[in-house]
Amino acid sequence: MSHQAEWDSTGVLAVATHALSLNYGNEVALNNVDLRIPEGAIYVLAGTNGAGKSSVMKSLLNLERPHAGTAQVFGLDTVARGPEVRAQIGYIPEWHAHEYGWLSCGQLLQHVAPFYPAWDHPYAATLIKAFDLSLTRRVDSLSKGEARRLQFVLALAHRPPLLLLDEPTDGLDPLARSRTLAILAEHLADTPTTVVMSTHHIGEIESLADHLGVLRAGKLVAQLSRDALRSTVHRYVLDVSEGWSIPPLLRCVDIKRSRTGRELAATFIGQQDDVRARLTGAGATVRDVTAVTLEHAALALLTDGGSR
Amino acid sequence: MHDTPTLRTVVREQINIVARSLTLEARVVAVVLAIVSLVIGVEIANGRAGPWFDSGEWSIVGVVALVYPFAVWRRDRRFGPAFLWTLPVNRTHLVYARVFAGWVWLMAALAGFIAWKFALSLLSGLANPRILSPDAPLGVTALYLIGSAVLLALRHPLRWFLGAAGILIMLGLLERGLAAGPYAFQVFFEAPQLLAVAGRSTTAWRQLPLFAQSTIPTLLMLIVGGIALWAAALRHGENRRR
Repeated sequence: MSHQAEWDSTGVLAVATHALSLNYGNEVALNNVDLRIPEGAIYVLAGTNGAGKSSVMKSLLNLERPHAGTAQVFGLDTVARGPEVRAQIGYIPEWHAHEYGWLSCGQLLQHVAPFYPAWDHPYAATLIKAFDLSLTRRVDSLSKGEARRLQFVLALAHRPPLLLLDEPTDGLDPLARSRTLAILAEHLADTPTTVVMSTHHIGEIESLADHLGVLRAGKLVAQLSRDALRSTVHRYVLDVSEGWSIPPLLRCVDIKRSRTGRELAATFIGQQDDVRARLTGAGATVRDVTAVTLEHAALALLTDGGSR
Repeated sequence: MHDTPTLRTVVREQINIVARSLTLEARVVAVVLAIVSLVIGVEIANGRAGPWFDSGEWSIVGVVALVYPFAVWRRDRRFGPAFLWTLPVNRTHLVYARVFAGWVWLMAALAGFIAWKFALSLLSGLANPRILSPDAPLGVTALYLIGSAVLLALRHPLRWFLGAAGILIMLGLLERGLAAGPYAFQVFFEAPQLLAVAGRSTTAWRQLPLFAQSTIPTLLMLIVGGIALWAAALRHGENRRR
């Protein structure tokens, strides 16, 4: 990966995995994943269902023990230094139901807080108010959205240096989603935090995210910073002759031809100058090049058949 | 970098959460004891209290100690990505803290049970009611450790059940086979040398139980339980095997 070396050279990685591999029986969940997440990044992990996004997070928490490879959080090995690693992490799991559903929200918070010496009680109270949670309600009586909001309080109240958010807005209605993301943005503004987030709604976090990792069938097929994405994934509008075909070796997705067949729009992955030169060399006229959204880039990288 | 909690905090929280999780069971036991007290009260009033204090309820206490870990852990997923394991605590320490917390409440319940029996014996005016072998807490602890080990070692409920049932059957056979010998299972709970002196405000030991009769097998069981728990806890450690 072209941009991996750049991050490695900074030496400040919040999360680093080396050939991380995890199987569930015969099913491969993670296959030689080399994550490089710089400190302070807001890293979106994209992938289809079952691509391995949740498995990455569980491995970082040592909830799932990898078959091979290693993972480090702030330089701490996730297996050898598991408790210290988890002390740095606020985690919102993919599941909504809490095992301690028989407790009230207040009792659950009261139980969890002592495990985190950095727990900020006034901030927890602020979050409870912001998320409009009732402390007297039993956890198992909460709706999906309310349970998610409680998980946010549990994850944020100790101001962890690393947040692992697994589909954090799943189950929230549009209004709650927007409010939750606003609270998250405020939190990130106040607290130096690295975020690793998996979501199917990348568009919602477009303004927050600055790194993108794409997992496909357990393999990390792309890992780029926002800047790198801007320079490598573009939407091109081309004037072409009838029957023109895309030159080989160009990585291209989402092709749309006009009815006449003389205009073609497609997303190409590669350095703009290189792509432009190849297209021109193949007889196409590049009429327009535009940057794509993070969501579009993620989709392009997900559907791209090319390997790293 | 954020710190991890102290072991003291972890233990305290486990004691608290186990207490909260056992509320239902405690209420059920309280109701049962209240009903039994009522029945015994009627018996005492009719002068027929004796058999209540010579019955083999200590065997029941043993069985309860063996299956009690199911109650201690029933609210948690022991395997897989459970909430408990997301806490910033060494997983093995967390297992031991939870087992210890369960043991604390087991001993509290045992003390309550003994006090209840003793109170009833005083009320009944029995001359020689059997209250407790001094090794009973150790025997109860040993069975609790074995039960905890079974629970923590086995992933599937059916296997837990079969494992527990197997142990019970084995212990039953052991008791039957060695009933006449000095190492009978019964001696854990029914050392006859210990008597509460009824009709007085104090309890007294008439004599210490014979060491060979009770303490050695109890200690052996404790050691077995401890080793079994240690082995079972390995399955949950940070470096657990896949």
